[in-house]
Amino acid sequence: MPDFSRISEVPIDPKKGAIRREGISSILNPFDSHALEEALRLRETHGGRVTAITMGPPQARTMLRDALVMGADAAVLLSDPAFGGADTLATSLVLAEACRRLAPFDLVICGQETADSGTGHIAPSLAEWLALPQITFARKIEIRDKLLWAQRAIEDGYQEVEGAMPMVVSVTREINQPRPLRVRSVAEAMTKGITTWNLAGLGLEPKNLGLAGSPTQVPRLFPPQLRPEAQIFGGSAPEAVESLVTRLRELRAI
Amino acid sequence: MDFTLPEEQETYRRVARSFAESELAPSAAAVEERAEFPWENVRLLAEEGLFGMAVAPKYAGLGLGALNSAIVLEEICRCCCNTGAILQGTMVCAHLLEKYGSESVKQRYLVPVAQGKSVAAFAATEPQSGSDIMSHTTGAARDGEHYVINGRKAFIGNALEADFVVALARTQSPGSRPSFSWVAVDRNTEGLSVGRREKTLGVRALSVAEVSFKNVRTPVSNLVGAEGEGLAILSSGLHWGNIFLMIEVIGVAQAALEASMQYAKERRSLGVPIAQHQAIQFMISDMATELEMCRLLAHKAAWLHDQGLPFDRYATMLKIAAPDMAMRVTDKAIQIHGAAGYCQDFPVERYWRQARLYSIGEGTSEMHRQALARLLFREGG
Repeated sequence: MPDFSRISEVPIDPKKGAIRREGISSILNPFDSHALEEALRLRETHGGRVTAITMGPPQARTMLRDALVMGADAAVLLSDPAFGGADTLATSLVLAEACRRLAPFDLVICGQETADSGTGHIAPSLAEWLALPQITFARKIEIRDKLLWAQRAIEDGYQEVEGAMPMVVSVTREINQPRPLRVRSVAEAMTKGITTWNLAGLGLEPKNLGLAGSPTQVPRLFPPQLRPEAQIFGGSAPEAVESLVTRLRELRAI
Repeated sequence: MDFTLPEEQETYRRVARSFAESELAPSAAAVEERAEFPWENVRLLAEEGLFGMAVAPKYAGLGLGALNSAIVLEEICRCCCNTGAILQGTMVCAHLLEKYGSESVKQRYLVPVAQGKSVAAFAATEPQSGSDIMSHTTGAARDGEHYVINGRKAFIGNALEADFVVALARTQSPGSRPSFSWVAVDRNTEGLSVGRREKTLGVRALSVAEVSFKNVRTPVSNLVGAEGEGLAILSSGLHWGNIFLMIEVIGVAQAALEASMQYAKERRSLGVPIAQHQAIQFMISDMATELEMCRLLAHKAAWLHDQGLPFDRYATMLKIAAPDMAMRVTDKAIQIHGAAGYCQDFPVERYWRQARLYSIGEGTSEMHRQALARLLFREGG
């Protein structure tokens, strides 16, 4: 995802209704760092190979290099101007095709959502495109007798589920603490190539990709207007909450 | 000519920044305030293998080379100058040991340094003479298979915590021409004592103290380089060390620039952020321009070293330019912050105090100007 921490204004492309990403470096989506960490831990326990995949502009390569520094065995960048402006459906279509080309695999592990758009759609969409079972919001996963067992977070607690692999899993931030990037790991990471696949390489139809392939249209993207005024609701906590809810209803915020 | 940092260097920069921001930055102000050796930070650097980052893998180092090491060190110093200064002092010793030490010296002293198990101090300056090396009096007299060292070294960085000292001493016979040599001396050698910690203006966690030698016996096998090669080694070692010393202050200046830009975006006057005022814009522009010029010079010197090409000229230019740049940058940083910049709640006064060291340490700017002039007249401009 774009690294907004070092710029003062988010540049928006009014035609695409999307963030203009040229010149903005990419960082690893924080949720995906947990996904990568979990993949590395599973590899340490069960063996195997970890491939980091992302769809993004060319600068997303730096994020993939960081994934290799963390310990991924390989990295794939899916990049083409035709992919730009994609919603989660068009994005997951491209990612699914990449997964097919990397098959066979046991698991596709995703972060539960991106920190910028926060839809949480990618993992379920991937599972559907790939016709694979899915477990979302996993806060703990284990491989038990060739099945994947997971404890998934739900609103009022958690549930335990298991299923046959190959499978798509999305993980929460609770699942682990990602290992830090280490200077001593850079040299080895630099020996690993980053494969780039574009539109031609994936053999997809342009009409299903990017803005053209996105049923979700963003009519307008704008930074929130800062309102200097504030309203304080006093009284006891229940009284303040009741006043707040009333006001939010007046403002049609809820 | 491609001036973009290759992916490898960008990766080192990014990874080092990630480490420094998460592990060093949060405690940087406290480290300076406490004025104590930051053992926890040193442990973190050791775990990362950074004390050996410029040392060859055969001696337990990471073998990053000068350019990659400079990039990593800048990120460390951007977040915590004290930690970077401790690292640089040890790196200079490691460089001397690797380049000039015998195999036994390397195994005994260099490997533990690279492994992060040993802190080193580099001792050249004396109380009565710093730049005037010919007036140095610390001597190492040969006694069988030992040197007996007598004298005093002053303003030695890492002095209180060093496990060993690499010291410059006169090794000439009476009546013969001046001759200097470098010798490694274990900290716990009888007769070696360390004075009180100096209360310095900045970089306060770096211990600076006098090291005294009173009939200190060290094996002849602890020579670093051949006897009598001390001045040549000093010159060579200082040029290499100066790249990294100046990278420290470049890191500090970068921090000052970033702090100033952030403050300028937040502080408002006359209804707008002060970043929109021309006076502030001019200062920020000058700071960024001068900083980048010095960084490019540092990278050039480091790159030339890595290619095995002469780099002395650029290391000397860097040693002249970077301290003055950093003083201007940190001074402007305080000015941009106004009264807040004069208060310790904001980091810029710390950067200003830290920056002041660098026109003095490892050869004053004046000495380097003299040395550069000699080089230019000898080799051409």
